[in-house]
Amino acid sequence: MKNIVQKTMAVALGVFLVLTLTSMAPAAEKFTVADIPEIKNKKPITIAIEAGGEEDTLKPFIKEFEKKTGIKVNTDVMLFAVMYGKENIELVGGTGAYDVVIVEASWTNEWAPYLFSLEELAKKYEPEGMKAVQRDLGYLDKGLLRMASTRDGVVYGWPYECYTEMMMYRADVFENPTEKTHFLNQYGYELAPATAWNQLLDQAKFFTRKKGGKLKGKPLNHDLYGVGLMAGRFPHVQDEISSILWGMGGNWAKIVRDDTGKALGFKITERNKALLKAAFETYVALLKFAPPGSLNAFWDFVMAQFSAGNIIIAPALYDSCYPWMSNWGKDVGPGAKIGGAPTAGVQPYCGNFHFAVPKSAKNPEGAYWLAKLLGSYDVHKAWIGAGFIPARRDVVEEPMYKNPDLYKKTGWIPTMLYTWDYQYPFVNNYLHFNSSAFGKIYDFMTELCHNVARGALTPQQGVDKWVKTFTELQTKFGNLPVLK
Amino acid sequence: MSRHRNKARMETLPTQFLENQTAWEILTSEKYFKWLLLIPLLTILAVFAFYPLFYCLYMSFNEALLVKPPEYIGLTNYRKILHDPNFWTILGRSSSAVIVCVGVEITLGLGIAVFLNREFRGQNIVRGLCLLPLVVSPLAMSLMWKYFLEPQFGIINAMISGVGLPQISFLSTDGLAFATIMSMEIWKWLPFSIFVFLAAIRGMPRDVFEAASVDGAKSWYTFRRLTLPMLRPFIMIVLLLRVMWLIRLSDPLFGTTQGGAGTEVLDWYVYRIAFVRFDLGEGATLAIITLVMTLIIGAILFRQLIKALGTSR
Amino acid sequence: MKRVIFWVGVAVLLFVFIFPIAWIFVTSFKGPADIMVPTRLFFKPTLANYIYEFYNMPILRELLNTFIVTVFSTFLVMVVSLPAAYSFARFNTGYGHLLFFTLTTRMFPPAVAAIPFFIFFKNLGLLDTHIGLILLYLYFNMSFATFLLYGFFKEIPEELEHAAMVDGFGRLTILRKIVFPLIMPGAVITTVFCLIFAWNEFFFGYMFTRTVARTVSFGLISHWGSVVVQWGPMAVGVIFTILPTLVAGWFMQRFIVRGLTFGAVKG
Repeated sequence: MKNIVQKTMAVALGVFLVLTLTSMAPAAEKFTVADIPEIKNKKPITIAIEAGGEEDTLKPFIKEFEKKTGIKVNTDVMLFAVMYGKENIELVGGTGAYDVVIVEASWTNEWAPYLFSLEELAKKYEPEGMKAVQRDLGYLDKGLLRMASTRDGVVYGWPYECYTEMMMYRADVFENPTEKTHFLNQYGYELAPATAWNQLLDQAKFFTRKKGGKLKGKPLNHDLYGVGLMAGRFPHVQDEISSILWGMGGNWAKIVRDDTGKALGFKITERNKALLKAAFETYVALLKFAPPGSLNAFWDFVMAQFSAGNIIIAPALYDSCYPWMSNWGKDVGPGAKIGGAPTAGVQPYCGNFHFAVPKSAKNPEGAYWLAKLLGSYDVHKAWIGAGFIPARRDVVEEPMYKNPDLYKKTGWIPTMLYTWDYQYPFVNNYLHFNSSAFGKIYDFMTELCHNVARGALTPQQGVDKWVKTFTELQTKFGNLPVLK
Repeated sequence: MSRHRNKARMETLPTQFLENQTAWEILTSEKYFKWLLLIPLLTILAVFAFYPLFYCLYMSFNEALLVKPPEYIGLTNYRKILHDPNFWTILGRSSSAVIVCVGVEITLGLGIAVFLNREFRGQNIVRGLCLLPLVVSPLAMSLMWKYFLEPQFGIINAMISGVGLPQISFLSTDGLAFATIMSMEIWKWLPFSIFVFLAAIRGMPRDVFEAASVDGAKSWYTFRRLTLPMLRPFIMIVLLLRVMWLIRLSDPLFGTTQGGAGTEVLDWYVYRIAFVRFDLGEGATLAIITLVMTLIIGAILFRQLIKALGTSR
Repeated sequence: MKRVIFWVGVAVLLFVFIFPIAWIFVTSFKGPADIMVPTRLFFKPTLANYIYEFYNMPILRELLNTFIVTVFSTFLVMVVSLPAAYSFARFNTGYGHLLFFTLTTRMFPPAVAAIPFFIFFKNLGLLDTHIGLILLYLYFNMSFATFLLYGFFKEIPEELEHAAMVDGFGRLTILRKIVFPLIMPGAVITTVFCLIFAWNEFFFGYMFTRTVARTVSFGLISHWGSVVVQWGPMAVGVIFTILPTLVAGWFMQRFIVRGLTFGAVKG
């Protein structure tokens, strides 16, 4: 008992020290609200923000910005599901409705013509020019910066939030000797977080048990399922299948480049097709071991199933879902413990958002500084405090986040960092961040993946449909051709 | 029918209005007055009905993608949509929703209206409460339905397992999901038909029914021979309005399946093409095709309604 | 026995219609710990969602916006539809074709109609203004109102007006003294329906507003984020969206039983 108290106190002291140190140290060099120069343009700014906790976190900074600059900031809060349509029509229509917009990584290609690049803005408004921008961009994770807001080497916005898919599992079950022995006997290898998708399939099958069966040697009073999946007709089903596909070493399409690295077009190779088919098959097979209701599920459902102790593994759930499962453990069962690991194949889908300034903005000067402020250290620090995952390495690499006691509030930061580093060499070639028609393709992918999941299309039909419709959409809406 | 009735009235019009007219009298003479009354409506129609109609007609012959100027491509859009099996699947699904929902609403609505057509204590409160689903925002309700139908923490499944039955995942199985969506729609609109029918039944002449009951007619017989024929125009009104609204069904999808699990209906599809894909050409073509179909069905029903209104007088 | 069956029937009916709405009310008092767990009948009620909703969300402003837009658009709908419906019903203007055409404006998919309107409104500077939304809701409700009022006007016996005309009354006097009192119940019902439909409208409200004229339906979906669904505050929002329509509905049901007889049969 005494031991625990001592330990807790030591940890608390450590956290306190780190907190004070980190909050003191960066003030000297990192951009803060105090560094915003006098802004001449005093026109009010309108910013589009995603609904949910995001607005609550940003509000204090927006207030500070208003106080410092004397510019009024209006916030337009909206649902993520309708954000693309709303922002798109305002941007393309050039209405000047928004001075700062949220851009999801997969929309950046499409909107690049309507957005100011950071360089253009820095030249006009930044006393030090691009140098100051480069300094702050240097703090961001390179892979995320590429995915979120870099297109053809041009940076369009300040990444501020991301979500990385991660495997969450019942550590108590994985460590249980009875379960370990049974698994070893049945499959011939040790029970551990899966590093390949076929292992995950074994585990999903192994843990799916009927009511009255046993878990950790004790009888179950409800049905148990191996995995929790987000197979509803929401973008998340596409995220999961992409994680499987990339984790298997595949890609939705190959990007053909010239010697300088400039993209010339897309090509769906036989290898692409074969791996996509395999990814579809794996997903359909996994779904057999997911709880009923998965076909209308997104993260919300998986979180609920996991919190209720109905599933053992959430193979690809967003890292920030752990902080949001505020009461995890209460209803799971005695001795329940949660564990976090990279997804099998370590190339999961990473969602990314950045703040950018549209060319139609009414007050680009004010908008530039607001966007920069929202990408600053202080804001990212607030993000992580609110349970979101920021994109700045200087924040997430702070030693305090290595402390397992904080995982409950931030997710498994070291695991996430490992994932980011691992995936970095690959992200440049993901289709998602190269096609200017991707906003449209993304919606189609969601439909396709869901239809394969629910069995309306076989995996082979799914692949054929992908080839046909991707070619159609890319040709109609995209800039680059689909090569034969 | 109404045409010759008008003529009959023309003859009864006082003739002194035809001579020595002031400007006011000219304006209020039937010939001008009826159009004068329509000026505001026609103005609004000209802007809000003709403008999008012609815009869409024009766009449907173009490849129009919002980001570049439209380019004439003839009938390509029509050909593409009419050859797309997906379109026909969705159209079939929408049609089945129209038929099932209208059928259930009218049958149940009639039954409940007859059931509630009696004097009882608290009758106004009961009838008032039955109206509630109609006034609730459809969007809000679809969001809340998702919460209620959630397999793990939804109240509906809690009640089901409370009685000892297995949990049902309402929104994730093909077929069942669409049935659930239709049930939501029926839940919302059933009060509409109940109230139209109830009001109509209560407005019917009592003496006819009293005479029938003196003759010893069975209640089923009275219903079939007296109530039902008199309700015909009301059934037509409900039918016409509901068919037209149901073709536009999409609200319940918003908070629940977003078109997943085999629930994608016509308006959701149009929304995706026009507003997620921003393919104005195809979106406009879809709009024109559905409009033409709705017009045909609407015209048939409308004619029936006018007939029903005429015969029951 | 028959009475028992009747009341059981009434109970079932009320349960089906009211329970989902009542449960929203219950949900609005649930704290975050009680929301995402298997439903428990007893829990510790909290006002946290209400406090959150009023301090953090612009719900009061949205309610006010919706109120302004709903009331003014409904007023305009009546200004347009009452004379038109009278003209259709009394003079058979356009022999039914024009009425049918009016009715068809609602057959157009809103998602498609929205795009030309958007371009049109942008050029006129009507985006995110109350006037713009009022005009759209006028378009949205006009056809239904005209059609419903057409039915009510048909109910008024023409003979009354003829008699008055023979007696030498002018058009306006007839309208004021005879037609207007008789159309009142029908007009009230139509008004209430228009109010409810405009109040609950979502798509145009979302498309054509941002911050200034944002309506309450749009505000509601703001609780559905990409990582969190705020069920509790959303339930509060839903309650406040529903309340005004509940009052309107209650008001309407008193008239509806009296008025909705569409002129087909006269009791």
